[in-house]
Amino acid sequence: MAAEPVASLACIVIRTIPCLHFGTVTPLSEAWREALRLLWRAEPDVVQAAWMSLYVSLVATALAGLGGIPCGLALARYRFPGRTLVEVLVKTLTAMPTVVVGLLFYALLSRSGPLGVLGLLYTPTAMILGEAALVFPLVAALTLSLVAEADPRIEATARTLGASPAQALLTLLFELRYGIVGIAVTTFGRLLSELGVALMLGGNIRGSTRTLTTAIALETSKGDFALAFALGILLLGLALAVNLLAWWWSPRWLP
Amino acid sequence: MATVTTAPLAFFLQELRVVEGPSTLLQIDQLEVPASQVTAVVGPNGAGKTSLLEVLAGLRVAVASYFECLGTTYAPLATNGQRLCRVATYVAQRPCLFRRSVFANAAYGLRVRGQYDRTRVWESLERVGLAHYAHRPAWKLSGGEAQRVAIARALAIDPPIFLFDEPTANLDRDFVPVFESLVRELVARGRTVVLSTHALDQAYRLADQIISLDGGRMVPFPFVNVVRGRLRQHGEDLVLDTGRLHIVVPPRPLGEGPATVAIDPESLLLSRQPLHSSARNSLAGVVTRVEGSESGFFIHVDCGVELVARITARAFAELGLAVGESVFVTFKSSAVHWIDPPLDGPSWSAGRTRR
Repeated sequence: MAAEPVASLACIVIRTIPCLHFGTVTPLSEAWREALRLLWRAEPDVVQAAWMSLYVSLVATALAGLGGIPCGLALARYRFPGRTLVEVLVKTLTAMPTVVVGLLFYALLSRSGPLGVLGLLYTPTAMILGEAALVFPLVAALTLSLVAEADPRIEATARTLGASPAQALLTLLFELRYGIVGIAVTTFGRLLSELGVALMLGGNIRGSTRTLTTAIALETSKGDFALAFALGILLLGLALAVNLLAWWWSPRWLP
Repeated sequence: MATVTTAPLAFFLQELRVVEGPSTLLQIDQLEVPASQVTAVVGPNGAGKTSLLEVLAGLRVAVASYFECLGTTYAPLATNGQRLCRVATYVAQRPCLFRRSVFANAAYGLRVRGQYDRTRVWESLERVGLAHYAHRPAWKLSGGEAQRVAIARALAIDPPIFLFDEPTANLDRDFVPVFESLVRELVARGRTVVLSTHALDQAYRLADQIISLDGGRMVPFPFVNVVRGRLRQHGEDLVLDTGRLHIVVPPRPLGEGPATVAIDPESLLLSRQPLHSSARNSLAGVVTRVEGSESGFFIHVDCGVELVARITARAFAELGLAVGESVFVTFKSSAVHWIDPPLDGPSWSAGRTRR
């Protein structure tokens, strides 16, 4: 019977509501109002966290695109020994837990690690490197699917009109530009909402490496629901803005 | 050095093979395409017309013992496709337009060559009558308009060789004469045109040379009269038995067995009454289709196997044939040509394998 999960869900809700209303934490209804007020006043801490989120996500998306798009293109276009193995590996890595990436880069960048001398741990650069590595397989796998599905006549047409192989590949990418923007938006959204790598490599340092997600985690554990909600709304707002931009630019009259 | 006296060739290739998986798509011993002329490639669906054009365009992997294009050898072919692409341009039957404006599509070839020239792009669009569509998105065009953009795209780069695959299959009827005069104009300017077509009358009207393909091989006459069957000795005559009709064929030492022949459509005589003549073959049939123009008519006659006769406009007017009327087809056994080795399967077999 389906009643059992429904009942347990209802139980959770019923138990949570009094906790929110009568506990030591701010009531939910007040939290919303407080959140909107915080956003309206543009608290410096909030702005700083939003800026860091945007900056890290954008640069990491760009880095992952620079590496992942050629990689996906090569996987889709060239036959070489072990290609299937690489393809399966890349697709598997899209499911890599963020904390594992965080752990790997932590081990690399920590003082005693092989790259410890660079002193990158707990800097935005470390976060960018970790985030880019996290989504690199995703970009490669999505590009692979996009190119594999593309019209094979595009390159042939480019070549018979005189394009060099490199120009033909660029033409192919340009023809797939809307799909590539889609990949970028997906990647960016994943990074904007990412917590594990940001926390482990950034360290959630106020005014430096604090991002919206690490701040939300912190404020929630502190019980400051209002600020956590404000940050959450801001996070969704940023994602919405980026998606609106992509929507405005892509053709709405697809055949 | 000896002076070259032979006519220049756009393409000269020997022992061409195109293999895809287990099947051989093309198998041509020798092919010559004269320069500055129109060559038509005719044949039924799956005959290898598109594959041949793609090979000539440098777009398809092929093996050839010798491949020459406009005096330059391209061997091995596999690594020279890119160079070939610069000499010849290919317009596909269903062209792929880029997701840009019509103008940007037409300008593409010049842009990638670093020879962008606004006026040349405009001229080519005007030539196909699409200048007023220049700023429309190319993916909103109809099939015929897309084909015209593809033609304009090729005209803009103006290479020495144009390869058109079924150029008039999707075109609006009104544009077909425009395209044909365009082809004549290209040839007059010294360009070489190779086009594949289903329309035999178009092939005869436009082409200086006709290459006929069937089952991936060159056959001596336009594909329409390719007949498959088994050879049998019938009295003194050697007869090709297709299961529905017997055709008296010229003597051949190989004797009985499967065989394929082609009959020149020019040497078929049509008459209302049976002809009493020295010709060994006289078959009764029914007219199934009439196509053609002032330059000649093609009369399709079902005699058990469909045969196509080419007659002049005057003969057509005198005979006054119409679809559904009975007619006699007469031809000498010497009008029958062998296709060796025989093509797969008998002509009446429905499950004929081509690919």
